[in-house]
Amino acid sequence: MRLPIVLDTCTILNLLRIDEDEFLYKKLIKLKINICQSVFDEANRNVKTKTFSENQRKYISSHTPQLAPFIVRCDEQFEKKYKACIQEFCAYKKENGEFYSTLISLYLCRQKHCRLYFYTDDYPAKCVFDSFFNYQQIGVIGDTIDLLVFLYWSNPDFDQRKLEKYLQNLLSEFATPFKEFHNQFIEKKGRWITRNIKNKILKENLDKIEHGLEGLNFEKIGEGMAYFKNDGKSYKEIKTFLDSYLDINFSGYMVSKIKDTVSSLKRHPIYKMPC
Amino acid sequence: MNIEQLNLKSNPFRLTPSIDSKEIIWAGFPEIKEKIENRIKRSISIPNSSLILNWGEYGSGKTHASRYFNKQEVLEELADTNTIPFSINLSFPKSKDPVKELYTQIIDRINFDELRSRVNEKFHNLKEVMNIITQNTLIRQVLCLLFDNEEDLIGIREYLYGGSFRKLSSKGIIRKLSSDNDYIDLITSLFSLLTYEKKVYSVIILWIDEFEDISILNTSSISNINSFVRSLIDKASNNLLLFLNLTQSAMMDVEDLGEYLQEAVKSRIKERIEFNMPNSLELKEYLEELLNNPLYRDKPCTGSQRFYPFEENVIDQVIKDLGNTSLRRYNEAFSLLLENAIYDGKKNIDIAYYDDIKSEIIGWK
Repeated sequence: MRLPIVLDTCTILNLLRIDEDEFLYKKLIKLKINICQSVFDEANRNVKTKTFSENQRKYISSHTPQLAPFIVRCDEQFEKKYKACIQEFCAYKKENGEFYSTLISLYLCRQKHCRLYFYTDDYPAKCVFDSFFNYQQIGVIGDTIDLLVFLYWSNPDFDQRKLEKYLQNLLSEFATPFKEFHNQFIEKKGRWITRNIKNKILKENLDKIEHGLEGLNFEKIGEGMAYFKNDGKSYKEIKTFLDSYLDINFSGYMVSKIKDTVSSLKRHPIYKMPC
Repeated sequence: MNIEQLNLKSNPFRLTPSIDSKEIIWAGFPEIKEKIENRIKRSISIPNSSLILNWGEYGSGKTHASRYFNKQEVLEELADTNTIPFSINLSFPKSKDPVKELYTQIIDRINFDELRSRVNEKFHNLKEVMNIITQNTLIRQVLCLLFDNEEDLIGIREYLYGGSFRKLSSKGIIRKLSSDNDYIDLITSLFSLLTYEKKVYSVIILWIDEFEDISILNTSSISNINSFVRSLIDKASNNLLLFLNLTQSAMMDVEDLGEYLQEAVKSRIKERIEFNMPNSLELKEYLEELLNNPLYRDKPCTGSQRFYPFEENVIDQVIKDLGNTSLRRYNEAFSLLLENAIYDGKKNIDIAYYDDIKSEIIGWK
């Protein structure tokens, strides 16, 4: 039995941006995929605003409209009641794609009497909704890397070489902004310290970010960034710079997870049924 | 108080290497310097192409080395009585069209006016040389026009940057440069011409910085970069010296490189020069040479004052406190010490003062 899959905007866009000749797209639509209206709208809107190459933009925008048949609408009464329930349980006020994906996940799970997979690359959202998924026993929240691995073992023509290729291409998408952030940070760091020569805490937190970037230690990067974000008044320039790379810690996390997955593939093959 | 009162013209400790070549000096680390010098000297006198890896952690001085060995006076000194090399520093391409980006960077770095006069001064039979260096008739014609004093250089440069061939069609240019092969053919033929019999230049030196970024490219760009490096070495089989700077990091370890370089490229690597973390002796040698370089001090301080304004025991203590770390971190610590001393009006940085502000200097580790 194929379990239902709920897709978030970022996962749809990340999968399509690395796709070639509909290899991944065709495999994706063969699954029992479901999306909420907000995700459908966001995907079609974000393709115009996010940083894609021209080829990627063309490819993605020719495919996202085709996802319309997979839109799921909940029963009105259910929606009213459980929107409030999720908001209260998760202390989450935004009504965005991740929020409605969680709502339709609960709905589908109960309708179909089965657990399901919700794929999102929005790490903060995953953290917020994980406990709700667990409490309601809806299923599992995964990301694009998990989805690629699933597509790999469930399709006979998807070999390990292709999986490694798609993982490398996905890594490239996340690592490029991460590296750009690192380079810019190093360039600016010296100036920020010199201007605040007696500010010990400033240096300490800049050092945390630098060490974190060099060692892919996201806890350290997060700690350092939080300090400047919490005191935006004193560190206007630093905060503005950090705000322009809002998703950087998540990009780094994805880079690290892809590298670990690729490295594990060499030692521990993912079992695939012989054809 | 200002820095002159510490007998320095400016702060010698930089976190990132200067772009102004006048400010690029070499201090300490004689072994690394000698290894690179030997490679360049060898290439100046011997007609074969080599690929060298410079390997080290963040802030270990690889970018600085590439800028230092791009200085005209440094290259002239290494050439001695031989023809000088032609050296170009390249950044690792960030776009999804890496070969075109490298090609454009190379064209950007070339002063074609100067090159034209040098080529015409050395070759009186340019067409014959062209016939020897390339079989590609389009590339041959482009190079002929490029070095023909009668031709308008602006029009040809426009063409090199991807402009239309229409204006040049009457001169035998019948199509645009469009594929990676075109760019590689043009670059390698140009390099072969410039180093033919070591007449115009003895060797072309290319430094590609941040080569570790190959690990963050997509698979097709990784393959294109490999083809670019392989073709450069294959097609410009004489008089090309290629330095690839690689940073060892959590993103890329020495073992990982093999996964991104094709066998054909790996087999062409002649030497690996390691930029290790500095030990105490190396660091003190570096500091003494840096602080007393004429760029920062007209008259060197000697004897017990050779590290002025730092006392030697302060340096020992900083080394002990920072431990095994990169040169950039040491530069950062000494820069901060210096800036703090100026701020606090201290003419001598002694151990008592260092202990006082140590937490501001060392910070979080």
